[in-house]
Amino acid sequence: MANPFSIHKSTEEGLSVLALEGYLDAHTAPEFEKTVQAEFQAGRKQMVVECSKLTYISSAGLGVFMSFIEEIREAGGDIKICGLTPKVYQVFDILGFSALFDILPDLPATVRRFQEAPVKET
Amino acid sequence: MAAAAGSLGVLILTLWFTKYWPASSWPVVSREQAIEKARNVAQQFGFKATNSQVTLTTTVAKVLAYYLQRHPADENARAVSPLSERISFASAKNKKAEVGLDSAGVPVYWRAPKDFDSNRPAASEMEAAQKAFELLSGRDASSFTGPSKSMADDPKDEEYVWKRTPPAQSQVRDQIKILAENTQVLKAQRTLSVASSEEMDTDTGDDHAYWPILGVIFWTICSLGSLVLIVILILWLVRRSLNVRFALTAAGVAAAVIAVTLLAGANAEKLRDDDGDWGGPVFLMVLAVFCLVAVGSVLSKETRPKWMSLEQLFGLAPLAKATGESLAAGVLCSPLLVAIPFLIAGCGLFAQSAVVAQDVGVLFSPRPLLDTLDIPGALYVLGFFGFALPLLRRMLRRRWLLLLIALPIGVVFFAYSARVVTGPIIAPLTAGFCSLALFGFLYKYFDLLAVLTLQVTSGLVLGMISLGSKGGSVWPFVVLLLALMMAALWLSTSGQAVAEGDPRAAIPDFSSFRAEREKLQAEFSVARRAQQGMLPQAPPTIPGYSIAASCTPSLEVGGDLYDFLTLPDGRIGIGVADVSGKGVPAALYMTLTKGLLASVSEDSSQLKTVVEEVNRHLHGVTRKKVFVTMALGFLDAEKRVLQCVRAGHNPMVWRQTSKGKTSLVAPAGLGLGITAGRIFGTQLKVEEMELDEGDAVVFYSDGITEAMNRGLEQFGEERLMEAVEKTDQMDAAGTHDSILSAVREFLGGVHPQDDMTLVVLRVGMRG
Repeated sequence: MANPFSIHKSTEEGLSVLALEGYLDAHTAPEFEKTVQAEFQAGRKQMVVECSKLTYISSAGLGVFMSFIEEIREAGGDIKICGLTPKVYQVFDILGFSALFDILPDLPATVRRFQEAPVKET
Repeated sequence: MAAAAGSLGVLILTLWFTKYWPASSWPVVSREQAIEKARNVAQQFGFKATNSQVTLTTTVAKVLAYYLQRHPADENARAVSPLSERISFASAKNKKAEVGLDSAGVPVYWRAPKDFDSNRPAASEMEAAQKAFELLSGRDASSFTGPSKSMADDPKDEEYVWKRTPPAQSQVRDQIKILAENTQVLKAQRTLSVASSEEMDTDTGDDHAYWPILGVIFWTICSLGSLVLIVILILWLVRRSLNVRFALTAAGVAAAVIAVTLLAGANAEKLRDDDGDWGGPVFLMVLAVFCLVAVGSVLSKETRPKWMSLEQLFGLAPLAKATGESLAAGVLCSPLLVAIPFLIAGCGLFAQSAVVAQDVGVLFSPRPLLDTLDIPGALYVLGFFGFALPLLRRMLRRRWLLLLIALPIGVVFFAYSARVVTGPIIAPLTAGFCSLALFGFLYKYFDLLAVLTLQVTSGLVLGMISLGSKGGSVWPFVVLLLALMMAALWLSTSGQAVAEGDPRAAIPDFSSFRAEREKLQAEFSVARRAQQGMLPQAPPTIPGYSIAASCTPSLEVGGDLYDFLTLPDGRIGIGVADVSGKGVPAALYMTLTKGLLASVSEDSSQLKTVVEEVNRHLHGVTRKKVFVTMALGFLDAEKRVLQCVRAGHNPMVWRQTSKGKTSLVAPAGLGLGITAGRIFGTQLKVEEMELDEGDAVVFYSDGITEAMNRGLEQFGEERLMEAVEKTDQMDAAGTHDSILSAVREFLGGVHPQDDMTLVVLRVGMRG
């Protein structure tokens, strides 16, 4: 069962929660990309990407976060990230994503942040 | 899941094996006893069977076996067991005498060698025949009537025939035919045949009239498949897009396995053709493995992970984690595969269905372990899952259509190739369906290696319980299966996770498109040279400093870059950059980044301005998903001041030798090409380092720190800093080489999965 990756969709207080699990790399990134795109096109612009079960992210995986963020923010939505393991957080941090995205410890904190600041100030 | 399947199999076998295994009720002598008895029989016909090569083969009279399962009380049918062994004594070419015994050791067959000259001639032809009759009929002699004379196979000859009068309720005919000439017996045979009212085709000795039909379908599938295989093979040979090296390795392994089997002598008979020749069939089998692997592994482009652990097993990473998982799944499921026929016979859904004791050679084999290696069986499975299925998948894009066509083919295929259940046609077809489902489960959730392991180990399991139920020694089987299981479990927990990161792209040596790659290799090596040529020929000479640098792409072309700049104000720029992704797209952006850096730095000596300009241009042209990380330092050689920025890149290592201090320099900064001007600018921080005599600054890409060994550990920043600390007395070149050898030592032979770039700056040291 090489390279397992899955996305579990749910909603939390009107936010669309995408819980990632496994390896997000060049082979699994398109699946994530399609999911984000589908959410956006369905009008669900406030997304939480929950990463507590995400064990690996490659540069291609990081690319997905970048590819939609401007469009989503222009439409008044946002992608906020929560539950990163230390290993994965380091990858986000080195690249400077902590300045670009709201990265929060858990889902409740993310819900609160969406209420305080629907779009991250950059 | 697989363990549950295995337990279910064990349960079914415990319940029903002895009840439904036809050979359970047959008495069996040992191999040595059989050969000794055969020697005696040959002696009595006047053939001295010493100093001759002995081979023993077994056959099962399936019709009789099936009849016995349904009429266990018919003593008449028990005169001779359905399981018989042929022992042939070959002293020279064509001088082969054959003796047949039933499994209890009762003589049932004799055939004299060519130009036979008996050393025990009888007085007359009739007397010779009479003596042979007495030998073959044994204690039943009085119940036979005869002889009558009838035409033999060769119309010139006449045979003497004795017939036993069957009891009223018995459908079995017991007769003895003897062909004698002058004073010696050329051929003698006792046969028990079942009358045709038992709905069986007694002429062909086959169990049911539908088997020939299934056989025709089976062989049509096989020959059509072979034809397609050969056409693709030839077409692709011409286009040079085959996975030749992998196929050669696989064929070599197959040849080795067959050679061991042949040398051991156990399985040899199974590999012979009708004329007893084994060269041809073995060659064909090895060739078939080659063709199937060469075409199948390339054909399965979309299902390539299915071939991966098999390729790894024969390739550079035999100790991969996935290999262990596949092996374990295959081994665990094997009892269930063995149990399927017994489930069909025992579940009561199919009236009159029975298990056919197909391969009982293991009972008389000198090396039972090797005798259970079913090479043709493995070939069928490889053919179906490795070739036919990917081919259909390619031809039929729609899933339901694929299912509609592949399912019936698979059911017939597995029903016929296993041929272990008889009864109404629905019974073997259900068995075929169940086997297909089990194989399919392993194929879907694991891979081809698991499927092949299932086939091979199920042979072992069947051999083990067959032998065990007859009091044979099963320890070699138990030890082998346990060892296999332990090895598989060990691998699946502590094997190397080749799937980490970008498996297929990251480990090019496992690429199945080897031939396609070879075609592109020439072009790639041009590209590689061009790209390497873009890197600085030699580091700049700076009085009072030494510099060493290298960039090793993991693929032919890479996305890493380093460069040295001479700035308008006379300072020296040192940069390392890494483009996201790998291969050709990354290489193109690497070239672009290099050009941007060179041109922007011609107009400005301001570190922040240079990086912001590069970002602005990159953001304009990169696709949204691509970004570049960069560490850039501007060195004022005289003042010994190094200004640094880190645009999303790994921090630099600063070794302050005189202070004995090592630190990571990580000013804030975003990756290039991610976001436009303003936010990039506000995030980007410049850090100034005041260098001292003996200090070293190390720029690198994540290929160094994320280099992963077999134990899945990353080299990491800690080890990198330790490696730098050990080089305090060295110049830049020494430090550079020492770090790289530390990484190589850490990897322990694992191919690096990412580009590795390393630039070392050392202050002083007479540089």
